[in-house]
Amino acid sequence: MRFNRIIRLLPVLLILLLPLTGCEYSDTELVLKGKLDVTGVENDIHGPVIVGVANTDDLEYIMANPQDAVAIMVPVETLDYRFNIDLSETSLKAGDTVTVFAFADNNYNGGIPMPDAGDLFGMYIDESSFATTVTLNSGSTYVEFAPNRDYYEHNASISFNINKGTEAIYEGDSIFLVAVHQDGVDNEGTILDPPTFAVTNLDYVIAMLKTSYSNGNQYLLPVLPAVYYELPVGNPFSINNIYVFAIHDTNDSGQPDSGDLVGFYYGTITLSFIPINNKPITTDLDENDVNPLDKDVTFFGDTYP
Amino acid sequence: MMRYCTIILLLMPVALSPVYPQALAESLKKKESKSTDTQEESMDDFSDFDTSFPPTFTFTGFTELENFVSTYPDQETSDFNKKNEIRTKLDMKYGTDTFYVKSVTNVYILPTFVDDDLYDEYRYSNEFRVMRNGSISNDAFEVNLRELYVNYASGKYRLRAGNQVFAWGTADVFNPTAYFNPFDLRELLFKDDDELKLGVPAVSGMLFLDWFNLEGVIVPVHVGSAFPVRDNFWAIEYMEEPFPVEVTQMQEMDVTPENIGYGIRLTKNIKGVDVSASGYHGPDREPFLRPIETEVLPNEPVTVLVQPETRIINAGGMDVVFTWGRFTIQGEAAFTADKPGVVEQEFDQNVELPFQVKRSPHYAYSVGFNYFVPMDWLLEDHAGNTLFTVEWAQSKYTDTSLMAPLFSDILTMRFEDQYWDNRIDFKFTCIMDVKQSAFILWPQLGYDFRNGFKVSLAYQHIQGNNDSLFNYYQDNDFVKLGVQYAF
Repeated sequence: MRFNRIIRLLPVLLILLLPLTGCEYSDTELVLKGKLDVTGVENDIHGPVIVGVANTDDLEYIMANPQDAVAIMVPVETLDYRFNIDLSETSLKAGDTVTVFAFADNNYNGGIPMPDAGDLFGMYIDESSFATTVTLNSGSTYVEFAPNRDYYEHNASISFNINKGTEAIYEGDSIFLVAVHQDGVDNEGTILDPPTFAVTNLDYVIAMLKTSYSNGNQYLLPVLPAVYYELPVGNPFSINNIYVFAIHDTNDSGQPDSGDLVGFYYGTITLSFIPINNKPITTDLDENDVNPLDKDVTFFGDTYP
Repeated sequence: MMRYCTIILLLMPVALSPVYPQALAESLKKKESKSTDTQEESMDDFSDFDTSFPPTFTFTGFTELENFVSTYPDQETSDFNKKNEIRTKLDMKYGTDTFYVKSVTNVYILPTFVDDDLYDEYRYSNEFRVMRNGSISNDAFEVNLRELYVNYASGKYRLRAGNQVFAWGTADVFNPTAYFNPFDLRELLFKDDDELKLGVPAVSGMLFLDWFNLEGVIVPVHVGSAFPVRDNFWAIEYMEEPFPVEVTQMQEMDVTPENIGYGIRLTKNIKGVDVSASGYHGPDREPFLRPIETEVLPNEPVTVLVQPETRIINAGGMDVVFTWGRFTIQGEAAFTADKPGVVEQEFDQNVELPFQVKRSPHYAYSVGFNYFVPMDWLLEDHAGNTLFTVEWAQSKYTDTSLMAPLFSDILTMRFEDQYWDNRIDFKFTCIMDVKQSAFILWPQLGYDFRNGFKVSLAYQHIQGNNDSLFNYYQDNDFVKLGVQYAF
């Protein structure tokens, strides 16, 4: 024991010789914890499952510029798919908003792991706000999401104009653009109990973008590189039965919520050629390129349920 | 049990030293003269042949406690202490002047040998390891057989077989023509001069002819440079966002006839100028650092692993040294026709691992001088040697698509003064990476009690910048305190 004490005392004696007064060391914990839900895709995982933390929510930018956008990539323990990532060695700090994504690198061969065709992919999306970012707490932050999307290398997008109708929507107002497969939308009902057309399952979202309203502007909504594994995807890349919504951030909350105005790609219900109502209808994405809508995404006064 | 045996082995020379007053006297005498490379010492041994018999056993050496204390402020108090090492150096010789066995062995031990929990940022190796030169190490101890050879000399020739250090070249720091002995980079350049190069198992011969000397060397197995183990204080670790990059242990070349190294050197004195020409074929002593793959371990960042590797090269070179007044001027250059290097890549999403290796012509040179400063002109009472050394070293591939060599564009300056009858030894060294504006400042102060004990205090300030190797050690400033007992 005495030997240990002497050894431990040495640095203290030497430190006294150094001009270190005033130096303070603070070790603030910054940890991202979480769990991946691999229900339904477990048998499709053939490589390491990696969680990435990026400093932007622009997925396209993240994939094209990981060296700038991604702060850290950490493999997950595949026994329980839980992760515990120490962010203190990165440039991130408490209060930063980050995008958390995960992918199973099925063709990993010792190179730089990045999602590409054949991989499973998922990212954290807040179900209530559609937010794809999470704010880091001082200490630990917990997220849970599913890497249940198949990754494609495609160039599909949807282009359209927005018609605000008679609604009070002004230049620069925030709007959320969302494209979602019909299976993720409450679209079934009766005359007595009509559908709400609310998004019921974010897994079926194939594109989302937060942007600002500009009169006469044509919007380009890129389809996410990864789509839910249960969605039928054609080859070349195509997806049918897609709703397109524009949600105006009417109450300026920064997220889609109840009371916000909703515009949509629409069809008109007629009775003996007399139009009586407009409702969301689906469109097909046939092109692995820009898919222009034949009608505007239009606001008719409907609000987010 | 093994631990206690090792401790006894370490302490034995100290305990026995009073029994050998002659060895102690020799040791003290030796310390009065400027230390030189061991190979040169051996040459001195050899210069006056005799047929002394019976064979004698002599040994000198020292035991030293060397402590590293980091001065980087942003760390836990318990982490300031980086290394407390006991080193015992044994320089032993048995035989006659013409036929003898010589051994220069360093035994190192850390307190973690006794208590694993003391610290974990200094380890000799990750696991028990037997190196190709017979040295052994684990995390807390090492027995380094720097030299262990049999020498036989007769008339005009000399033969040696075993671990040897070949001090080819004339430069003080970077020797482009020292083809054989790899660097021990486990403390960057901060190991003592007699530890920086690893011994290699070799067969060598020298011919002493009237008009030139000829030395030939064969190294049958490749011994790689030693790199710090991962997570060590001296480990090369940096970020290529978002991936940490870590350097692993060197991949030594297979033991095959193709990987045998051999070289030859001719030395001649022409009108007071020592001139040598040399040639070499074999594994390159200087490894290149090649990103090879990523490591994916649960809950640890995806890490890019960089592996030091080497290849067979063909090189030739020459060196000169001469004295001019108080100056000793030396120059040394080597040209490699086919030196391997790593093809540079941008670290973006398109980066491909492993990085490609390509060969290129390469040149390296060192020029410099030693100036024996006449301090007694300035200070009347000054009695001791004062030396000012300057050396410029450059190493370049002609193919600019390759990553730059580890050490290039290095200017080394050292002022060294021994004062008060050589009791006080002061050194100030500055090593500059000129191209990257990075530098190391290294003042050292030693006091020799003249009874075998010597203490030393040194400080290393490392200022990294850009792509300089020193940049990896930006936070590695430290104070070194040593206590040595020579026997």
